[in-house]
This record gives sequence, C-alpha cells and structure tokens, in this order.
Amino acid sequence: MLFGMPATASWLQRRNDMEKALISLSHKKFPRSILPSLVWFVFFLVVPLGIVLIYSFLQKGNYGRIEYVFNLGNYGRVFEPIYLKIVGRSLGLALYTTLLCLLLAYPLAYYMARSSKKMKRLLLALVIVPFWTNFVIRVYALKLAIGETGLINRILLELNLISSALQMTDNQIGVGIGMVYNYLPFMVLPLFVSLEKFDFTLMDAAYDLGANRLQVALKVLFPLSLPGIVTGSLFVFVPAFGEFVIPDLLGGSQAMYIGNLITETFLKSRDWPFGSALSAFLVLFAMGAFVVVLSKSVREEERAHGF
Amino acid sequence: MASKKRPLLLVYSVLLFSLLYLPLAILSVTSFQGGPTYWHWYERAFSQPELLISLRNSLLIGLGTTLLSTTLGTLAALGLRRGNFTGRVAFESLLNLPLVLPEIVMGLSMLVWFVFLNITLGLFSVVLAHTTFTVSYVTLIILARLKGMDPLLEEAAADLGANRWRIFWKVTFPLLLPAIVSGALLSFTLSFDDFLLTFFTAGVGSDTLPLRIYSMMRFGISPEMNAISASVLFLTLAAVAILFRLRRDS
Amino acid sequence: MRFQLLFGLAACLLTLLSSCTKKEQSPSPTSDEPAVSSTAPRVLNIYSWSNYIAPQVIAQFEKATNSKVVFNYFSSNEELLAKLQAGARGYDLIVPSGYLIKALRELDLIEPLGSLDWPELKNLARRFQKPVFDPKHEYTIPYSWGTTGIAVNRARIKDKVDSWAWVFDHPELKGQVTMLDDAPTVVGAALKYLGYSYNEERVEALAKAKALLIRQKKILKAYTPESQPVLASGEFAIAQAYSGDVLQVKNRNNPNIEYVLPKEGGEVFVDLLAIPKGAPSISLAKEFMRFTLRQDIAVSQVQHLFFSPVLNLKDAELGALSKERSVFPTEGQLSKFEMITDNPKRLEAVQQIWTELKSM
Repeated sequence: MLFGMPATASWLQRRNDMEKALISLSHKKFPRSILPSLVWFVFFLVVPLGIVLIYSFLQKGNYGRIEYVFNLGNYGRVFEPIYLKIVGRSLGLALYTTLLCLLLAYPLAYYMARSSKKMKRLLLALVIVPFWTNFVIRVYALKLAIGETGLINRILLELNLISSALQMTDNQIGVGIGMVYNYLPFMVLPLFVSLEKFDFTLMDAAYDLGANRLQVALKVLFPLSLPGIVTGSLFVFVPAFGEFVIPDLLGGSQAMYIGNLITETFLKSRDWPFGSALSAFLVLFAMGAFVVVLSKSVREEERAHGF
Repeated sequence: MASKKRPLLLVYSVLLFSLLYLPLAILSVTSFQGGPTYWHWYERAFSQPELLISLRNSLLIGLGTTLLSTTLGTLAALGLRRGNFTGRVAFESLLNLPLVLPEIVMGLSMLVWFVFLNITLGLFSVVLAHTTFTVSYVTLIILARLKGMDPLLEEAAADLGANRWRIFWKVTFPLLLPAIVSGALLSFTLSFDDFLLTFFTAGVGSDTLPLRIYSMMRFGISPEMNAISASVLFLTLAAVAILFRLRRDS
Repeated sequence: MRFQLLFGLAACLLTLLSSCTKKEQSPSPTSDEPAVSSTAPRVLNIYSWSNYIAPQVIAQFEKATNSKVVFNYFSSNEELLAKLQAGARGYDLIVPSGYLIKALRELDLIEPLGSLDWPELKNLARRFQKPVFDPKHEYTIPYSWGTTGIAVNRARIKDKVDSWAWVFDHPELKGQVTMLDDAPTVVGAALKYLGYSYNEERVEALAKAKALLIRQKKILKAYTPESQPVLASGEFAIAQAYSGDVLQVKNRNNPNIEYVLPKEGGEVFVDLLAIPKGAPSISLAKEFMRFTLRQDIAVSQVQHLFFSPVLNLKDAELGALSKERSVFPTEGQLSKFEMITDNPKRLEAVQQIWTELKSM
C-alpha cells in the first residue's frame, strides 16, 4: 500500500512508464539547478586554479619574485624521493584518521539516528558546538588534558596508577589523538544524515527472517549506509591528507607533511612556482581519482535503477 | 521506531561526548581561574573592542557564507540527483576539489584574482572565499541523503497533481531538512573557524576571531582568549538548551 | 513563500555586509589631506603582531593627531610578505622584521620615506643609527630588537648554563629540549655552536650543522612554533627562545625561567616600521613613526611589553628593568651576536636541510 492507493497492475504499469519517461527526459538533459554553483565554481575556483597552474610552469626569481620564464623543472622536482616520502607520510596519517574516525563515529551516528526527533536535533547540535570554539584554542585545551602536566596525568599520578607522567604530546600519540578529536564530527555528520533516513524496519524484518546481529549489520545496515560512509570518509581523508597544524602543535613539529611542505614552500622558500607545481600535482592526482571513482559509481547507479 | 533502550550504545555515546567535551571543560574552568575575581578575564576580554569586533566579523562572515553555500549547495545537490548528464562527472569532480586544495594555495590564488578584478578586500571578499569551499561540503552532505531517497514519494505526489514547486516544498524539502541543517551547521563551523584562507582574503579592518587569536599565539594563549572561547561555548550551549526546551511540545 | 523569505534574507545580509565593508573604508581618505580643515579623524591602518604596541601609546597618538588607529594582525613575517606580494593594499604601516626589508625593497612593496628632518632620530642608540640593512633610513625606522638565546628552566636545572652545548650535547636531557620551529634560526644556532658565522654559506659548514641537528633530534622534545606556551607550562629543561618571550612569561606565568645569552653567540633581530607601497595615509604613518622615537613613548613601551627598545634610554627612567639582562644585554655579551642576512641561495640550502631533517 502506498498513500492509500491499491497497488493494482495498472498503477504499477503507469508508474513504470512515468519512470521511463522521466529518465529519458533527464538522461543527458542538463539540470538547471546546478548552474548557480557551476558559475560560482568557474569564477571563484577554476580561475584561481588556472593562476596556480600558470605559476607552476614559471620560475622562481630572487627574493620570492616570479620570473615569467616557461619551465618544466618544478614538476620534475615533485618526484624527488624526499617529497614522495612526505606524501607517503601524509597518506598514512589520513588513512589512520579516516579508519579510526569511522570506527568511533559509526556507533554514535547510529545511536543519534535512532533517537527521537527531539533528541536528534539536540545531539546534532552537541556534536557541532565544540567546533565553534577556535581550533587552536581547542588544541591547546586538548594539551591541557593530555599534556605532561595535564589533567589526565595529574589524576593518574594522584591515584598512583603511574609513577611518571605519560608522554601523550609531542609525539605520534598526541597527533593520533588530536587528529581523531578534530575530525570526528566530519565523519559523524554524513553518517548521521545517511543513517537517519534509513528504514530501520528493514532490520526488524531481517531479524524476523532469522538473521543474527552480525549478518544484519553486514548485509543490511552497512550496504545501505554506504553513501554516508563514503561521504564521511571523503570529508575526513581528503582534508586530513593536507593537515599539518595538528602534527605541528601536538607532534612537536618534528615531521614534515605535505601541508607543511607546500606552506613552507610558498612562505619560507618563497618558491611560488614549485609550491604551485606541488599543489597542481596534488589536485590533478585527486581529480584523477575522483573521475575514476565517480564514473564507476554513476554507471553502477544507472545499473541499479535499471536504465 | 522501536523505543527499546540501547544501553550499550547509550553508554558509548555518553562516553564519547564526555571525551569530546573534556578539553572544553578544562578550558572553561581555567577561564575562571587566576584572576582576582571569577569574571576577571571575561571583563578584560569584553572590554577590548578589537576582540569584540573580530567576533562580530566572524559571525557576519559565517552567516553570509552559510546562507550562500546552503542555497547553492541544495540546488546543486538536487541537480546532481537526476542521473547522468553530459559533464556530470566533471562537475562532481570540481565539487570535490576544494577539499583537496591546500588553503594557502586557494588563499594566495584567490587574492591574486581579487586584486586583478579590483575587488576591494573586506568582509565580502572573505565571504566569497569561504563560500567557495563550504559549498562542496554542503552539496556532498545533501547528496548523501538524496542518493538513497526513494523517488516514488515525489512521483506519487506528481500523480496526485502537485506541480514542481509544491512537490519540492511539501515532499522533498521536509525530507531533506536534516541534511540541509547539517550542511548549514557544517558550513558555519568551517567558516567561523577558518584561518589561512581568511588571512589572505581579508581586508583592512576585517580581522576575524581566528586571525586575532593566531596572531596572539605568539604570546601564548592569554586567559582573555580562553574567556572569549568559553563565552562562545556557553552562549551556543545556552542557545541549544533554549531551542531544545522550545521544541519540547512539537 | 519560504523561498522568497530565504532569498530576501540572503539579499538583506549581503547588503548588510557590503554596507559594513563600506563603513570600514569610508573614513580613510583617498588622498593625503592635511589635518587642517577636516574634522573627521584620520585613520591609520597598522599591520603588525598582536600585542606589539602599548595601548597607552596608541591612545596618546590618537589624541595628539586627531586620528583613529585600526589594527590588523599577521602571525608571521612570511605571511606578511606573501600577502603584500599578492597585491593586498590598504595598510598604512607595517611592522616587518629586519631581514625582510631586502625582499620588500626588491619586490617594490614599500615606500621610500624621503628625507627625514626629525630631531628625534638622534634618540636612536648608536647601533641603530646606521643599521646595516637600511643605513640612511630610506625605507624604515627601527622599532624594537631582541636576541635569540636559551631559556633555562630553573626548576629542573641548577647548573650554570652559558653555551649552546646545553641544547646539543647533553644526552641526559633527552626529551626535555626544545628548539624554535624555524629553519634559519635552528641551523644558525648549530652553526654558532660549531664556531661558524650565523650567516655561513659554505657547503661543508652547513653539512656539519646538518649532522649535528640530526644527532640532536634524538634528544629533542619538540620544535616549537611558539615558545611561550612551552615556557609557561614548564614542560622543558632547556629551550631556544626569543629574549622578549622569556621575559614576558617570567613576569606573567612562570618565574622559574631564566634567559641566557650563549657565549658562542646567536642572532640579534630587529623589528622595523615601514610603509607599504600605495598606502592611503602616508603622512599619518610617518607621524606615527616619528612618535615612536620619543623617549617617553619608548619607556612606556618597554615597561608594558618587555621588549628591547632601539632608543638610548636613561637607567633612571627605566628603574629595575634596566638591570634586566635579557632586555639590556651588555656590549660584551652581544659581541658575538649577528643579524641574519637575506641571502636567497643560502636560505634555500638551509630550507632544504630543514625539509630533510623533518623527513627522517
């Protein structure tokens, strides 16, 4: 039953016809509603990126000047082993952050999605609110919690559970904690949004049919919340890949990540061309990945809808 | 929805929230300490007109950015939903681009572009910059919601004779509302807290709170900064609590 | 209906924003007008570090010149340079560090000051009368100076500390040593310890410095982007730090720290006042520069901000502060301290060492 209408054969037939009509209309037809953002992007994103691309083919002059001399050398430098090592390190950090955020956020998002309407709004707000305090202050507050003379150490020492303070800052532990702390809401939000529309009666139906919790989770919940998982992973992985402030503030600034490299190249080495080449490479690599993944997903979508 | 209690998940969620708020609790407590009175640092913070001006700037920019990006993003997500069209993959890749781009690159290149266009730098230029990267987040989050949404409901409404506007407002929009709200919240958060992009695109007299705070970093986190951040925290929590009570009956 | 509401709101906000921007800019004059006829206060847009000019000084200046000072902040010299280089305009006065001046001049980003007939220039200490980077004050006026040396945490170390050896060669201090997070500063300290010049160019010398720094990483706790937080928390034994930072923290948070000028020498840095090219209020900016050269103003600044003044100030005016060695080091202590020079090739090599150091 749908909206009180009997699912008669004629109704189903009309529905199929309409769907096909809509599809044939919308297939290859350009949706007007994306025009505002398209124009915006072209004007404020593509053009600046064009500038970056131009810079990447130029040469660095003295004192940070840009010499308008065509030069491919910057792209050659990008592949030097030291820079590849830095990229590898950033990738590792991004992967770790994404996985851990996913593991920690999923149960929370699930709980939020299954709460009452009122609680949903409250929990959503509570997840976001901490992130309206300034980022740097938040990180320093985190240091107050996990630092050598921080609260946690003080409590543990008082209770005689440890003999000397745990070193949780100025090392990889601090970075790990800081990254997850900072990126958690970026995973929670998309997961919540995706799970929230989920028809939980499907799970009840599966239980009725004799499935156990694991099977329900893996075969029902997980696949249908995939859009949320993908979006959340995107929101965490991509920015985490470029992150460098947290490793600096909580990791003792002892390791260089791609974010530091690019920023220092622009600001300290004053080498705008090389910095632009690094960024252009990053962007091209990511775009390539997006195009491949998105083409695949669009084709799968078409297949799923029986086009 | 079944109203069975999920004790394990409840405990987990409470634990996670506590950990999330722990540093903020410490921050709040420290903001009351060290002065002759509990309100000492708050008085000092709020008597500095610059700090308040930068707070106002951040709020204005945040609101402007959120309005723009939510509008643009919702429209874009709706457009992307309708299956394949020429250039769809290109547009969706473009959408993901701001997430990849390091802020310094975006900041410097936008500044160069603004200077070329002779746009006077100010609050407005920051809104333009912020919107550019927050639109992506908003669109993607709404898209995640739309991707699994059953088109049957809208088609049924169409069957019943509703025109496109009515379908949108009475069927699609209410279903999308959680996603739109989430997108708007995310957009405001990203804008309010942004530093590097804002630094390069802000004009004279347009310093935002993060700009002010980062510059003060050189001298360590002053207690006034703690007080300002704690104030923002208290105010937003109070607003959330009030709204929560207001909706009690709905 | 809701759609119109939304658009209406958006339109309102945009007009509000644009009117806000207009309000910020309407007071600034389009040309340099003398203060004679206008009753509206002139505006001076300063671009500097936070907390770098004493509030009383600002108030005095505003009153004396019937002007309004608007502050804008940057958090690093490099950011300042990049922003100006990209074309940002509207600032009247900037406070760059000395080594940036060459780049600013080469890139044509600052205004020449013209001939300055100011008697106040005589107030400058001898060292700053003809500074090496701008001997004739063609572009800049010195504002403040300081040194980069060692901060000692007296709660953890009781011995006498007088050398960079404490930072590099004391393995028992593993995990308690911090250095500043800046390539030339760190490499410079290594060079000084090894007996070279702070601005050493030779490849062999730089290689030795790099080896030393690689060794140091084993005992290093952190490179600190900002030293004040670590100084205040006391979570260190020895730290590389700026003189002004140590004094500020000592007075405000942590009395257990002490500033030491290493016997091998280190860096002396100067911060300057300059006027960016195309500034709206050049004459007002010059008035401010002249204002800072007054004795009474400088005393006020030192007492409030604890950085070293560029003027010759009488001990009587300064009181106890005159004994503070970190603010007023002796000539003997300063003999081995050098100012950094903007040698692009050398700095590139130094930055490369830094990248390698942080990639192992």
